[in-house]
Amino acid sequence: MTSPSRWRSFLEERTGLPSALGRAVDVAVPGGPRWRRVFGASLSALLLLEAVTGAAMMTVYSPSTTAAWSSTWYLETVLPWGRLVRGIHHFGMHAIVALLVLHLVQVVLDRASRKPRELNHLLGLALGGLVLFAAMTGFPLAWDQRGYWVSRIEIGIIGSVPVLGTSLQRLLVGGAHFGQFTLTRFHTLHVWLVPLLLLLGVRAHIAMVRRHGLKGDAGRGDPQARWWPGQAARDAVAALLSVAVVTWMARRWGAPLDAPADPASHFPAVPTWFFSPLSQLLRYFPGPRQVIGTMIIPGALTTFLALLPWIDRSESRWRRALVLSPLLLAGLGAVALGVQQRRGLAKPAFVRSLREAQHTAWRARRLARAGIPPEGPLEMVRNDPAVRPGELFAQHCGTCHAVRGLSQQRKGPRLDGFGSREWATAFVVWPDHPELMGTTEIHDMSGQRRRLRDEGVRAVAEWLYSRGYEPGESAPDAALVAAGETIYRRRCTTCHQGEGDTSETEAADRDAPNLDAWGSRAYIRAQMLNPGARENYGERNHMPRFHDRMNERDLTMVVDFTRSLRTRPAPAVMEQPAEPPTP
Amino acid sequence: MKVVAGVAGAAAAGAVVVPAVAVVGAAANAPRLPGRPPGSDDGWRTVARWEQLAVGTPLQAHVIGAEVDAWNVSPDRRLGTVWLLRGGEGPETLRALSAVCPHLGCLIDHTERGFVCPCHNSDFSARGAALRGPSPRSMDPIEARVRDGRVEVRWARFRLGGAERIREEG
Ligand code: FES
Repeated sequence: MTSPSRWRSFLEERTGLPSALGRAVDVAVPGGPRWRRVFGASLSALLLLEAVTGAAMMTVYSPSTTAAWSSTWYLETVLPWGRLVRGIHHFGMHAIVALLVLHLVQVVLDRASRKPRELNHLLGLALGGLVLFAAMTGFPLAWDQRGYWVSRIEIGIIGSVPVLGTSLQRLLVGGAHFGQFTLTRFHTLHVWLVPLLLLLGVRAHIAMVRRHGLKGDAGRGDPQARWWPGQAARDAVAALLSVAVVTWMARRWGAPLDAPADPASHFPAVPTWFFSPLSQLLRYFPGPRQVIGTMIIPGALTTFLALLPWIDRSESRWRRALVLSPLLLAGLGAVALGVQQRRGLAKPAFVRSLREAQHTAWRARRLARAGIPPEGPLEMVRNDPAVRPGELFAQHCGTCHAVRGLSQQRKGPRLDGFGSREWATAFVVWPDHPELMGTTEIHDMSGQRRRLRDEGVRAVAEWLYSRGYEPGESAPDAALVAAGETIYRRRCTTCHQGEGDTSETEAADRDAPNLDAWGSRAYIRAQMLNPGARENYGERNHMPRFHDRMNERDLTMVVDFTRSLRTRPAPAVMEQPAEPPTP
Repeated sequence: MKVVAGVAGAAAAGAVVVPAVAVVGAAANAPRLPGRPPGSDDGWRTVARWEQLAVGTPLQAHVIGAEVDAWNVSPDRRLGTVWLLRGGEGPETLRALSAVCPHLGCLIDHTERGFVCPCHNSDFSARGAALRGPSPRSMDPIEARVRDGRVEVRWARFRLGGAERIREEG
């Protein structure tokens, strides 16, 4: 007795495994093995692949609005092999949907849904629906912009279903709005409930296939052919090929990861290719007719497919062509809709917003490399030190002050170069220039220039510069600063508050701002918090107070940003003409 | 015996399934945090200054406030986005429209043509009335007022997709 057969009978006696295996592969394939029958096996292989890669990703992923993107990013970028595994999972899903379509085509052409396979056909359709649902619930799990917005639209479509829609939507989303519960629910569906149903469904599907045998080519080939080994080999090769293609795509492109989901952004949401026809259909059915696009047309198509075994009963070629023509039309229509949608994506406005979105995504991934704060990736992006201060400045200060590239307003002085020697010089030389105080109602500095020689102007500007100077910057010239200070304390404090000679006016009457800390962070902050304070512009102030309009962090950002403007070129203000042009 | 088997089996299954389904359903109603009873906040938020608004040019403004999402409370979040319209001299000419498209919730943009939703090409007039495209109704108005030069709004969200305007609570 050879040892393999000894083992075999040993196992057979105790477990019955070998004969069970023998029965398992003993499926009738009338007509012999065919390549066109490999779809089922490829699909099973890919479903398994999704399960394996999915489980691997679950060891990293964290389903929370503040951690979903972060953990996905970490998997994608930091963890070795993470990008590949996620890519395989992603393209595996695309491949499954594509193969499902091919499988369906094969079933229809091969008349494989007819008696006695009607129920298995229905089960197959249901499984197809489940796969689409799996794709839909998986899409927003990374909680990135595209996943979030595409899901919101899909959920909106569900919500527009008459009668049950709203409750179904609330149940899926976990309340009225997309948020934490949406993520935990989608996650549960995606990793537990849908796979469980798929597993049971696929088992039943295969069991029924075995019961009926694979649909054969009547009258051709060997009517007694079995699955093993001819069809099995083809199936295995096909499975290997699908896995190989998916892995190659994953390596080549990887799964996309957009910027963190931002409910308050404009995002050009484009659905995945297999939802595109549906989403394009929506555009043609405005307002109350929307149900036609979301329910009636897809519903009719599904019903037609479900009833196929009973509709398509003729053997005559022409009769069949007639009966199946709606399917062909639907297929062509879907392709046309998909193409139409892709064409819409070439619009300049769309391209622009897409480019912006890609830039934000790139920034987000960049910022994440230094770690993501516990408030989450969205806060991280919002506070991007390269963007946020400029945004805040444009929003709060840019409504009056001009700054190159951010604002063109001229209700107050241009702030490019504010705090620099050049800006100070320009201000002393021609304070009423339209780029400076010209458009305000404060003109007391007019003509003060005449009280100073050129060196005097230079010295005062140097002293002013030294007020906000910080170590590491171009050092002020000590001698000039001293000279400037002397001039300032003697000449300027007649109006400007602070220490100095007040002989010409009563100290209490001085109402020009105290410049002792001019251009420093403290000065900018004080000016922003309360520009109407006596120390600043007092009653003549027109600048709004920002004390209640920004939180501390934003305020600090704007102050720092404003101070950083001193390195920019100041407004080019030459000497004031003798007769200043009246504005 | 058969009855006992059936009843006991069903009871055992029910004892497991009922609470499990109930908890899933309960979260769908997004219960409030006990420390934040309704009415603990009047909802008015400053979004801009009146003098920032120009007649004929809508201004987009973000509504900033604490966002409550399940157990997370995040201060200084963008709760939503509004378009502010100034009709004339006085503050009584102020109108605010939600930037959320009533169709499926994309954010509405403003262009020379008026308001447009980029997602499925809904067009709205300069005052927010639905003109073309799939949007089932006009842009949703948001309560707004001017206090001491501050433009304040009371943010609200509305059910998407229907011709009827239904406010979403919570
Ligand atoms: S979401 Fe605005 S048109 Fe569809």
